[in-house]
Amino acid sequence: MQFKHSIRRMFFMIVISIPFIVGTVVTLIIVLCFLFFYLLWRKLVELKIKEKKDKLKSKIQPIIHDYLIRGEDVRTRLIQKQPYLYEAIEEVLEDASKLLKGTEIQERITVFAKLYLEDYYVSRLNHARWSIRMNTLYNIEDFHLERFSETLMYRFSESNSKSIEEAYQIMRTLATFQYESFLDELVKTTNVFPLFIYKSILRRLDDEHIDYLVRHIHAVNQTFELAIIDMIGERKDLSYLTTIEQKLQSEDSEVRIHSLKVIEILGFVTDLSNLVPFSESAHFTERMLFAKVCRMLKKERFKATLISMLSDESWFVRNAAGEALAAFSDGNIILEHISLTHEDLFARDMAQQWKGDKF
Amino acid sequence: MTMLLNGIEWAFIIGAFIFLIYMIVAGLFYCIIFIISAKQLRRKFELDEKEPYEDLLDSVDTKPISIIVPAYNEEKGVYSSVRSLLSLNYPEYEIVVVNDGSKDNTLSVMIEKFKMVEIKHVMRSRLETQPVHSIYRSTIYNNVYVIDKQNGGKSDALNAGINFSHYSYICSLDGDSILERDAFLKVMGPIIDSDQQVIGAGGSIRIANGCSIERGEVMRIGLSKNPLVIMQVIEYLRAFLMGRIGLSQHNMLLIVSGAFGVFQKEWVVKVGGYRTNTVGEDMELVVRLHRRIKEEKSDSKIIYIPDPVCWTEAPEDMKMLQRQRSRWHRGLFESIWLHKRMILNPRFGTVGTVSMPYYVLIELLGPVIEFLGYFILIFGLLFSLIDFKIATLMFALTFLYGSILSMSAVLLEEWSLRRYPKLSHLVRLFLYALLESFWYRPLTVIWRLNGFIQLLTGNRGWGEMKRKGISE
Repeated sequence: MQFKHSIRRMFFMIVISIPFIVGTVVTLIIVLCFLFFYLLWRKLVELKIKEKKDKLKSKIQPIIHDYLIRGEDVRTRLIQKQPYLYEAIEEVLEDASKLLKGTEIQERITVFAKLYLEDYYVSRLNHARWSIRMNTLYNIEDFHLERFSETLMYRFSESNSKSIEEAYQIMRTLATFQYESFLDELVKTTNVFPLFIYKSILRRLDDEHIDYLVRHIHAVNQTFELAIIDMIGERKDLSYLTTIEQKLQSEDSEVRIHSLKVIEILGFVTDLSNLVPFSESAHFTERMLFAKVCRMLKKERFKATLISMLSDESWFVRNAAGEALAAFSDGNIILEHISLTHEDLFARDMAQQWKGDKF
Repeated sequence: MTMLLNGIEWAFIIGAFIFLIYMIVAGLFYCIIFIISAKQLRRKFELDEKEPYEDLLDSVDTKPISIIVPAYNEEKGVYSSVRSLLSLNYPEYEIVVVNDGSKDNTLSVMIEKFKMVEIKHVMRSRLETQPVHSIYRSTIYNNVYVIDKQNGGKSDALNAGINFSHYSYICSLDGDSILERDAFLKVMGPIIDSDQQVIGAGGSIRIANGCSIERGEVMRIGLSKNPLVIMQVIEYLRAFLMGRIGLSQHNMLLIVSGAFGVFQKEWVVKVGGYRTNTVGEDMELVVRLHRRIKEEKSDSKIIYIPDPVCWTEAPEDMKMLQRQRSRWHRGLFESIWLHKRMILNPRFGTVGTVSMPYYVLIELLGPVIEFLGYFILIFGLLFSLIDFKIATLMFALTFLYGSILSMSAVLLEEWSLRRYPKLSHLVRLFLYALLESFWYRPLTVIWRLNGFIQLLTGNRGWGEMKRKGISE
């Protein structure tokens, strides 16, 4: 009897809230329909704008190209002030940058961008939308608008970028501009940035500034140091070989490992004895890299070591040793012999795998 | 007699009550996820897409990837799939096709078209698989391999591919999926930027039917006219845009689709590779990874990239679709059942306390409750066992749960990603979403329920999936 009453009460409660829920659902449907029509209208408008922008682009493109290639003044011919003019100019310049090569043209692109886009970008840099700020930063870098160097440097040193992606892009841009106060600050600061951003920065620097950083390699934090080492490998720059060989003797095993990788890329050392300790290192990565370096150097004196490495406890080391032996001119013969006679099964297997390697 | 009738009446009322409470809670949950996703998507609105990736292309840092393609009886499509993979925009990667004991000419097609020769390779058997017969390498494309092995199923094939792979990142890819040129740049970007913290990433999957595809590249995005396909497009939008973004934000993502996912190999090997006795191997792996992450108290993450990177062929007829859905539901159940210890277990963080319960209550039990709802609604009205007002309420909630969420997903897509260029696309998607609750949703409920029943009766297969081929 009691139970029936409480069920009735629950029933009643639901009845009261029905209008509320049904009302909500109906409201949602209406709201969604409104949104739908709004988005439909917006899409239509955007499609029309895109049409107009494309038309504008085809009009201004020959004018801009004329300027870029021949240096003809265009100021008088581009006075339209439609909102999409900026986008149109950006796109034409970006396409031109890919299509037309040559320093003169790139310089003119910068001049043109300075004239028509610089002021526009000042306000865009502080836009509420993140994606617009990012796009502006990208364009500042691509068009080399160095007028913004100080602004960007200020943001970097005060660490007041609104998001981490902007902070990184600012650093990349300052690197592209070869901005020296930035490099100084980067070396001195106690902030440690991730490896990938240091490398991103280094890739944008010219020889003079890379040199500066290599000379200060003792003053930077470990991550930055590793980035510089990797960079030397990427540039395949033999002139820094001495620095790398010095780093082989570092107490930090990460520094040693990165340096070994660079030696592998460079394929050259001045003093072979620097390498010997690595064949017996406790870290398997160092032993493996030793074998990989041997593959590039192809020095007779390391053959015996490589053969013994075929029975190393780590598969990575054995594999690298096998690959290295295969690189020798008589590699096949050695490996054939080992695959048949060596007492260690792993060594025989590895030799078997690498002996016929056509690749 | 009256006792019995009263009893039935009560049962209906109680059933309706359960249904209502469930719908309201589930609906609220979806709304929260929706808002999280919308904010995330809006942020990237209009971002110049190519810029962030230009750096990666030049970078030596970009981690090389082993793409593993399990192949069973794929003689028709395997060549074009591999060809299109070869034109991916990524500095270094290898393609490992695993011929899982095909009964057709998959192997010979590969050997002939790619001029492959057998190589003697010592494969590290870190994961147990069915025996491998031989390994081939192409002489015209150095980075294309075929592993010929005894049949063992998709998971087994993936594990064999993992054993063989040379690189530290693996990507599992279905034979008929088409990757966008920049797919790996987009997916690997966050992985590299995170300094090894992200150990797995899923890409967004879109439906290729209706798009014009030439030589393995999506040239123009279109929308099929087939109602089933349109509904699937809407479902994918709903699942990806709302579910995955929201969950990924807080490292609760449980599904990285089998069609396209990138993982750090060491982690996959560490947890034992893909499981072979389940049909939901992709989800099951992710659950296991999450479990391991929490057990090790690591701060590793699994994320999701909303930018569409993978296009896949959707079933165009009811029979195929039904089979697929039943299979998915079985896989879902198996993945959860195997890790039932994680449910509501605070040891597993938000995955245990939020994600797992979500998947159990909403994804797994959802069809049961929805079916209950339909049943009560129809028979209740028919036999006047429930009040008309309650029936309206129930129907309103069903509509909310189905059509309204789908309409919102369609609008969310238009508001943020805008991958469908034409006006007619938007109109078609919205209208079909509106009608979803009236026909499509009940159908999927029945199919998923069917999956449950299959589980109980011990049906374990994949069924036959006819491949149409989508590339010209």
